[in-house]
Amino acid sequence: MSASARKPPSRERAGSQEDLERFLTMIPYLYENGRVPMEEVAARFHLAPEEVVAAIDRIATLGDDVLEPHQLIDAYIEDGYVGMDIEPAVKRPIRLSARQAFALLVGADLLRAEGYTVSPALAKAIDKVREATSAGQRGQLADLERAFAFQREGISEIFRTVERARAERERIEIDYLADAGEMITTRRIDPYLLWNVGGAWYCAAWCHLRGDTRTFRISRVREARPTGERFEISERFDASRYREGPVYVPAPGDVTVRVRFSPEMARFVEARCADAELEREPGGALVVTRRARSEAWVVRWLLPYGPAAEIIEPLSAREAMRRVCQRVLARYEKGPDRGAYGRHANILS
Amino acid sequence: MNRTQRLLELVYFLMAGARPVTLGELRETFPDYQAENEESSRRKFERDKDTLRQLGIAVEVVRDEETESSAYRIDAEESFLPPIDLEEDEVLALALLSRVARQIDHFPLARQTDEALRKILYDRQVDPEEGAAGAPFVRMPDEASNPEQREWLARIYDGIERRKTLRCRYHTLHSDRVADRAINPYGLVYRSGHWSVIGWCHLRKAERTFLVERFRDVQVNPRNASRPDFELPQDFDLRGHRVPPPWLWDGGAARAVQIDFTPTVAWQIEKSHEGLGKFESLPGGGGRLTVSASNPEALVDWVLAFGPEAVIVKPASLVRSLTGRVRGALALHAGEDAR
Repeated sequence: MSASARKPPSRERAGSQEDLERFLTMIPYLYENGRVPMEEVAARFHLAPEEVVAAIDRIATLGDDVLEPHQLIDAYIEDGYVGMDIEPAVKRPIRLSARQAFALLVGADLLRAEGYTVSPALAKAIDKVREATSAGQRGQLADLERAFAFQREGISEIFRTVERARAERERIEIDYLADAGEMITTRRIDPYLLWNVGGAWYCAAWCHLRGDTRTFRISRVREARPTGERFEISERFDASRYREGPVYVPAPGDVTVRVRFSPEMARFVEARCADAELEREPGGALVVTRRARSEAWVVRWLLPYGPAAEIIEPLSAREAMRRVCQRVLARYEKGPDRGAYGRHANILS
Repeated sequence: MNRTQRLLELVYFLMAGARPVTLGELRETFPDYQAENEESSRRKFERDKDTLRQLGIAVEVVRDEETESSAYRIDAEESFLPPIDLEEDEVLALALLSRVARQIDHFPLARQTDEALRKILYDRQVDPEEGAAGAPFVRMPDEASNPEQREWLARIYDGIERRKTLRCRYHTLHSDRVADRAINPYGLVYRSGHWSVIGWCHLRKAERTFLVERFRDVQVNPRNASRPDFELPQDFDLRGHRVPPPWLWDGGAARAVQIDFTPTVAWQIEKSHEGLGKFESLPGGGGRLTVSASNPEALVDWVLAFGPEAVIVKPASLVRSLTGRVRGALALHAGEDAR
C-alpha cells in the first residue's frame, strides 16, 4: 500500500487529479519541444530532478498493459535531455479550468494600465485565454470575475507621457509635489522603470535636480513635458531592488523619530506599524521608533492624531510639529486681510 | 495500479481507439475494473469518470439502443486546448503575468496562474526572465501584521469559490472586541496593501466589509462540501468597485462638508476626486471639494494630513474639532522635553 492510499480519499483524489493534469500537460510539452534539458522540465513543472525521472519513467511505461504497441509513448532521458519521439494520442493539454483562466484574468487586471506599451498585446492574449477555457466552466468563470477587485489609481495623461518616455528613453521635465506635499519643484528626469505597488503607480528615474536615482509617485506629478533629449540608463541602476522590499528605502539624510501614542490609539498604530520598533509602556502607551525621509513627512503622518501622538525626539522634529500646528491654526484665525485662502476666521467666532 | 496511472491510461485508451468503448471492454483491459462484483467495478469507473470531467475532460456516453448498452469516448475538441496562435509580443505579455503572480506571494491564485501558463505556453520554451529588464510590474505588498492572513485568505477564497459559509472570529478595533461571525463570502477586494472580504453578515443581516487581517480564525463550513450554502446575489459585481472613503464607513446621518485646498495641492484633488465628492476650481488656482461624511472625524484625519494646504470651510463643528486637535498637538509639543 502506498503512502497516499492511507490518506483520506478526498485528499488522494485531489492529489491524483493534480498529478494527472501535470502529466497531460507534460506529454504534449515534451513532444512539441523536441529535446528539453532536464532542468527546464524540472523548473517548469516545479519538480525535483528525481521526480522528473520518475515522471518520465511513468510516461514511458504508460499503457504497457492496456494499449496496442503502436499507441505507446516513447519517452526517454539521454545526456541530461528529455525527449519524446512518437506523436502521442494527447497532443494538447486539457483546456483551462475556470480557476486557471480566472487566475490569468486577474493577473492581467493587476497589470492593466492603458498606455502601457504592453497593454494591447496583453488584451489580445487574454482574449485567447478565454477561448481556451472549458465550455462547461465559462459560467463559473463569469461568477468568479464578479468576485474580485483590485483598487488602484486611475491612469492619467501624465502616466501615458511618462510611460512613453520610458519606452522611448526620452528625458522629460516634470512639476512634482515634493517635500511631503509642501511645494512643487520642476526638474528633469530620465524615467527608467514604472511599477505599481498596492494600487499606486511609481516611477524610478535619474533625477537631474538631485544628481541621483529617485522614486516618484505618478499621482504627485502635476505636469510632464517631453524635452526631445535622449538618455541611457545608468549602469549603476539596479532594477531588481524595486521588485521587493518596501517602496521607502532608508537613505543617508533620513531621520529617526521616537513617537509616543496614547493608550487609546496604541492598537490602531500597532496594526499599521509592523515594521517599526514598538515598545509598550506600563500605562498602555505605545512608543514607536522608526525612520522616515524627512521631518516634514513625520509631521504630516502625526498631525491627524492631534494630542494622541507626541514626538519624543529629535527636538528638531518637535519644533517642526509646532511650526506646522501654528501654520494650520493661522489658516483658521487670519484677520480680514487674509487673502484667497484665509476667509475662515468668522466661523471660529 | 495507482490511481493516477489508471486515470492516465483511461484517457489514453478512450482517445486511442476509433470508436466508443463499452464498460465490458474496459473491464477486459483494466485489471482495476476486474472486481468480482460488477457493481463495484462500475462504481470505481464512475468515480474515475467524474474525476476526468472535473478536470475538464469531456467524457461522453454513447447509448446503443439496439444492444441496450453504453459506450464511452472523449470529445477531443471539447477537452483539449484549441490551437492557440500567439504572437511574440503576446507571449511576452503572458510571461509578464507569470512574473507578477510569482512576485505576489499572498495572491491566492498563484498556483493556478502557473498551471494555466504551463498549458497555454506548452508548445514553446519561454524564458520567464526574457524582457524582464525595464518591463512594467505590479506589487501587492501585504501590509497585514497578522501572520495568519495568508491562511485566512486561502480559506476565504475557497469559501467564495464553493459558496460556503465562513465561521470566523473577528476583531473589531473600535470596540476592541473579538466576536464570532458567520459570513457568506461574496468577494475579495485588495486596496493599498490590505485585503477585505465583502459578504453577508449573519449577525447584522446585511452586506458588510471585513478586513482580512482582523480575523482571528476562519473556518469554511465543512458540512455538505459539494453543496453551496448560499447564492451570489444577482447584482453583486465587484468589477470597477471602489471602497468608499473612511468618512463614509459608519457613523450617523451623512452631512455635507466643504474643504478648500491651496494651489499647491488643489490640482491633485481635481485629478483624483472621483468618487469622493464635487470639486470646483477657485480663483487663483485653489479648489473646493464638497463631500458627504457620515463619520466626519475620519474626514478630519484626511484633511489634517494635508497640513496647512487644506482647510475645512464648514460645518463649524468640524472646524472646532480640527482646530481642537491641532491645539492639543501644539500644547503637547510646547516644551523641549516630552512628558
